[in-house]
Amino acid sequence: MPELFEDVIVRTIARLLTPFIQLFALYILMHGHATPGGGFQAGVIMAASFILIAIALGLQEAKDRVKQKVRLPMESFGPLTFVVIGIICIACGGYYLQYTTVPLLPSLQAVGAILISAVEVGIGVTVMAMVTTIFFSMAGGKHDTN
Amino acid sequence: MKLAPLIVVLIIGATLAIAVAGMPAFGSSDAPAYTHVVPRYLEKGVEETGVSNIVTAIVVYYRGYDTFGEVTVIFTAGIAVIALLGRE
Amino acid sequence: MIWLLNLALLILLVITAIAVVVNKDLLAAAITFSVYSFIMAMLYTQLNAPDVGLAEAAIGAGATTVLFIIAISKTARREED
Repeated sequence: MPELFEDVIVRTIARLLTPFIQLFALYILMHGHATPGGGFQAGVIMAASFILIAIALGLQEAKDRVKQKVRLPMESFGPLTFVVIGIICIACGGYYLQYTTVPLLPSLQAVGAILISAVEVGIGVTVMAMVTTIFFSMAGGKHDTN
Repeated sequence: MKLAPLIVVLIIGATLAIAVAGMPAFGSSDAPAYTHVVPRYLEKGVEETGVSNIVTAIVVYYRGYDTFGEVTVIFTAGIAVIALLGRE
Repeated sequence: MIWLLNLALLILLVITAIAVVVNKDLLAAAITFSVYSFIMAMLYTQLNAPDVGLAEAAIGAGATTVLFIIAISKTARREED
C-alpha cells in the first residue's frame, strides 16, 4: 500500500466497524459447532478486519495491532494444536483425533464439543496469522514505485 | 490459429452438456453422494461427536486427517511467503 | 419462484466470468472477479451451504481481491498483447 487514504469518512467508518467485524469473527469461531462457520471462516474474517485497518488507516497502524512477534508464533499454533490433541487422544486409548475417548468430563458429548472447539480455535489462529502475514509481506517493504 | 482452440472448447463443452443429462436430478436424495455414508453420519453424528453442526463434525472429527493436512498446507504457504518476500 | 433467482444469479455469473477474461484493464478485472466471487457466495448460500458461502465471501471477495490489487499496484495495470 503506497500511500494513506486521506478521507475522514473512510477512516472513521473503518475505525468504528473494526471491533464489530472482529466480534463477528469471534462469534463464528466459538459458535462454529452449532451454527455455520468454523476456524477457516473466522480466521479469514479476522484477517479481513486487519486488512481493512491497513487499507484505511495505514499499514503501520495494522502492524502495531498484530505485532510480528505475536504473529509468527501464532502461525504454528494450528498444526501444534492438532498434534497435541491427537496425541492426547492416543494416550487415552483411542485413535488419532478420536476426541471422545478423552476422559475429561462425565458427558461424552461435552468432551467432543470442547476439543472440537479447541481445534477450531487453532485453525482460526493459524489462518488469521497466515493471511495477515501474506498481506503485510506483499503490501509493505521493498517495492519500486512506477 | 484461433479456430482450433475454439473447436476444442466447443467439443468439450458439448460433451459436458450431454453428460449433465445423465446426472441425478438437482437436489435428489437418491444421488450416489447421499446414499453411501451420509445417512450414517446424519443419524449417529450428534451422539458420536457432540456437536450439532454436522459440517463441523465431519470436517474436524470424521475427516480430521484432511483438516490437519489443510492446516499444514496453510502453514507451509505462510512459511513460503515469509521465505520469499522476507520478514516484512 | 426460487429458480428465477437462481437463473438471474447464474446468468450474472457467466457474464462476470466472461468479463474477467476479456477485460484488458487488470484492475477492472480484479474488481469484476470480486463480484464473481460474491455471486458465487450467494449461490452457495442459496444451495444451503452457508459454510462454503461464508468462506467464499471472505476469501474470494475480500482477501483475494486485496492481494490482486496489491500485485497490480506493484506491476503494470494494463495487459499488453
